[in-house]
Amino acid sequence: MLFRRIVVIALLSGLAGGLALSLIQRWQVIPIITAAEQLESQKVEVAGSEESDHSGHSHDHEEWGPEDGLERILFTMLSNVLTAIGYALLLVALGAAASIKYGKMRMSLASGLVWGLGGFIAFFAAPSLGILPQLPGVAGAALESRQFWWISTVLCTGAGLFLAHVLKTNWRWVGAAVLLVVPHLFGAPQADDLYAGHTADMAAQLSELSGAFLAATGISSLIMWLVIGGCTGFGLDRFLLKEA
Amino acid sequence: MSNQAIQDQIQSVPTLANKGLQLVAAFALGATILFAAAFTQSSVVHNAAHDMRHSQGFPCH
Repeated sequence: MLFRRIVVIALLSGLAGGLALSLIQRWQVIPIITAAEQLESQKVEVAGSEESDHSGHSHDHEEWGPEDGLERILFTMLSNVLTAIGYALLLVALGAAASIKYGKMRMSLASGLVWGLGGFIAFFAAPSLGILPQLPGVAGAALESRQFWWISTVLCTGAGLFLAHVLKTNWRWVGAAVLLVVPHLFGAPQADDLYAGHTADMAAQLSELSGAFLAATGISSLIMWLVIGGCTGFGLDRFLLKEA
Repeated sequence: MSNQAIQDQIQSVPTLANKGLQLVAAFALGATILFAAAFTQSSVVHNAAHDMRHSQGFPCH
């Protein structure tokens, strides 16, 4: 059954991608989050701060949160793997759709890597042009508007790349260009003051950390996507399309 | 029409629709998992997935 095979391929690819992500993240990304949280704990709460939501954070002892150390690492790994499985399901479903519906496009390890790159562009690169991956303690515009812009950007970019890949007409380039550019013409919602509540010195440190954070999350996300893409391409080729 | 032809027709028509449906179901399952992991506002889920959300760039708080 098609569905069962898709799920198995996605589970295995997601597991591989999530574990790869966890490894690199542990070494590159988490130290930056920890440093930012130390700065955050020194922050003065400003009345009317746009980032008031953060009071319900893991350091708030009223709500459950994983203990620092092994427990936190394990929960982060678990959520990495779950997220990667979610990504892999989208990739396998779209890859199978492209092959079954549009015929000639064979999936393979190599074309899977290209699909993975597409996933990275849609889910990380394009939204990061408007909203940088946020560090703990850094403010943002209203949450709902940021989420709305983020999801719209991912959908538009993903649809643009997918259509450019599967359609035959030359108009597809125009359509894809429009879909890729429109979210950025609208522009992402931005906070008035990213470092509200921090002293100038702490703001400078956070700003520097944010740059390093973008590079570290970008690299770890790219590697995760390439692993997911390569595995799904290989899995589709070997276990699904040959017999479909 | 022979019995075999009727059989073939019965099987072939739903198969394509069926494949499409299964692809849509897999896609929907992936989207649901992602949405739950990335955007659930429950503070327990938020705290558990906190570091992943930050490092994937999900706007979550």
